[in-house]
Amino acid sequence: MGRMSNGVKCSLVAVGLLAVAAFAADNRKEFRYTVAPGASVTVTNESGPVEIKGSAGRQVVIIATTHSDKVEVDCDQNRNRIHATTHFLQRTDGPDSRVDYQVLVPSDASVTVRAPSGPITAEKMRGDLTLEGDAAQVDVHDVSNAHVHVRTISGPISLGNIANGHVEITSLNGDVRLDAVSGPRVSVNTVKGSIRYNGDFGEGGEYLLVNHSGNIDVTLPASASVDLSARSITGSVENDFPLQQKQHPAFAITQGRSFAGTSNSGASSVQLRSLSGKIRVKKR
Amino acid sequence: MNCAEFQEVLPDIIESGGNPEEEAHLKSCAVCSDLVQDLRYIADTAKLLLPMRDPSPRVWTGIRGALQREGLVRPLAGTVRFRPQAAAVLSQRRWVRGGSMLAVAALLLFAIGIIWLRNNSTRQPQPAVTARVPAAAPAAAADDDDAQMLNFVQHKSPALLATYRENLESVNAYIRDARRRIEQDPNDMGAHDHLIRAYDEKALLYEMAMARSGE
Repeated sequence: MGRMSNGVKCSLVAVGLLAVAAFAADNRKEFRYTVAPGASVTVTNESGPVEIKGSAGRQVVIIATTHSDKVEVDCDQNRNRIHATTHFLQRTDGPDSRVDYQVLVPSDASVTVRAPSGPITAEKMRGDLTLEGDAAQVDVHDVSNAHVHVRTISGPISLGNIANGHVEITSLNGDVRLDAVSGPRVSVNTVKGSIRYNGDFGEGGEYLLVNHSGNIDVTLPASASVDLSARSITGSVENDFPLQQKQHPAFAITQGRSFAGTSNSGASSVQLRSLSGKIRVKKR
Repeated sequence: MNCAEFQEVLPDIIESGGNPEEEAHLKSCAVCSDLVQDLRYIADTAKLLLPMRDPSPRVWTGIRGALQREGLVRPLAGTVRFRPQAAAVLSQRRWVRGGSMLAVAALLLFAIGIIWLRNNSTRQPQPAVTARVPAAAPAAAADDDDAQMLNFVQHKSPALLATYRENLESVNAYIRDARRRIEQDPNDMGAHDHLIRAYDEKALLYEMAMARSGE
């Protein structure tokens, strides 16, 4: 019994030491900068998440947590520009290369993030956002009056509650989901990724959703005011949203492959284009 | 010599100049003349990159400008869009030259392919031309560039090789499908639009590959 107790003690000590070592490896650093209106913040993180949150006030707060001594974080301010970059001290990958960023910025700041593995999140912003990630999942919500540019290779992209946005999304195989996204110009391009739009398309914007072979699903309320056209060249289209047929559509309408029409005053132009995917438009 | 015949020998003309017949066509045809001028400009600009460790932004802007003037690419979104971040990230790395060359090769390929396509689509009254899409030579070059790009990714970020390979196959399938559709119906402007977008997507893949900085 006594030996077992000693064994247990030894085990506990070993576990404790490992925990301390792990804790020591997790190095949290905080950087604070004061910026003027219209500041720009750039974060480049080869591995690990980047969270951007807009806030009141004029401070940029960058909290970076490294998980090994093989990487470090370089932050610097040059007038109204802030740069935060993960810097490799040794060649590494996997968990050792990961750095977690939490970044608080004035909501009017322009933010650029490059985080290949992500995920990348941005919320409560009014400044422009440029977000890039290879396989990174990208989530943007509660953004207004901003340009939102997102590019991924395979990472899924989700935008929610974007008002008066200039939105440009490009992905190869990432699925794209837009909920309550409206603005003067919204464009989505994917190859195999599916595109889902749920919302009313605002009042007077240009919307273009294009892919190669994924599905395009649009759900909109009866109150939506749209001038909508859909065409899948070799795929199919389905529509159960009431549209008034146009006298002069931009292309020849082919049953099952294309349709076009307007609802209400047709305030927003909505173009849905696929080469071989399925396009479905539904009434909410 | 008509435009279709001229375009068949276009790569040779760019590389080594044309024979008297080709030169005569070049003088008499504004469309082909503009095309050759653009391609030579891009090729000349690309050469400037080779001896540099860090290509001047002017170079990227120049290439981009040429493509934009042709309406082949859309305006940039933010500063990171066109000038490959690799140029900045890799500039302090020993194999920057290889990365730059690969980027240039990719840009040249896309420029040639898209300009070719655009040229064809603007001459729809000539069926023989409109039905033609970038064929053997560009395709072979594309295979070579694709292999280089994948090698680049493998060197920088082996874990992402499968992702890039899969997406390369996807975007090449997109290009093939759009081409096939254009061959079936050269007047289908929607298919032309898809082909241009497919090339845009491929350009994105190359750009992202160039931006790898896992070393």
